[in-house]
Amino acid sequence: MTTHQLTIAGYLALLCVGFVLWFATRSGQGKHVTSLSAMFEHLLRYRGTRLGLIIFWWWLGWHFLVTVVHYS
Amino acid sequence: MVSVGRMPRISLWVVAYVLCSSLQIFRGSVGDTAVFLSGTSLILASTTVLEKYEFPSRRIVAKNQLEWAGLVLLISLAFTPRHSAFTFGLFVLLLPIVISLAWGEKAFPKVNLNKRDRNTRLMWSAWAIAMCLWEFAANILGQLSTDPNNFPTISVLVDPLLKNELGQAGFVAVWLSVGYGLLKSGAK
Repeated sequence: MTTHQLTIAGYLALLCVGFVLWFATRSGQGKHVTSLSAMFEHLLRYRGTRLGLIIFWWWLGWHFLVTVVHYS
Repeated sequence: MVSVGRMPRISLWVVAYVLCSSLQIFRGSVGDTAVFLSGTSLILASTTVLEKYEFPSRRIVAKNQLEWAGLVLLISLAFTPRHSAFTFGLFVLLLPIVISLAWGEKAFPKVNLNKRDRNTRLMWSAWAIAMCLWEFAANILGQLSTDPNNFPTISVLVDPLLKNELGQAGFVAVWLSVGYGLLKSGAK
């Protein structure tokens, strides 16, 4: 397995874990954890979180749509 | 068990942005470094020296303006060439608007967090940190390697998908949906 494939496998594994966590908790009725959307509703009450997320969101759009990604 | 959630006066996002700024400095990307350093300063100021300043955006976000703005942005960004002066201008215009809308009222409201909420926050934080560490490692190893493709970052993997119109339109739709969700939830 090359380092290229290994890096991609790591991303895919983390995405799968994220999907499983979201799927398992989506109802928000769990005994130990609530849903992702409920957590966001709590965290977005803080200004620091709102600004941190919205600036990062803007940067993602900027990064892919305005600036040029260099491959090498 | 319910306890009153107490956020640190300096948001943890400041730490996250300092780390991102460091990575951008290491990458040698002047523009991205400027974005993250400015973001660091703004988040820090928003919860300290500017804590008392409020921008009640709830009424604006609650009306249909956000939906209309999203539609205009979708049409504008999905079908115009990337890396153009038009896209640059649109993003420069967009930044102060979304910051104002996200600013909102109280910086530190009292929020009751129970054990389930805290467990959920811990679980997703661990996942996000793992994803960031993997991305940071790929970025750093890619810079040190003779060929950055040996350790591709998310940007390197996603960018080729945006080279056709469908990929670009799909990315813009998902990206706008996330921003819309953040502004709507944040205004509640």
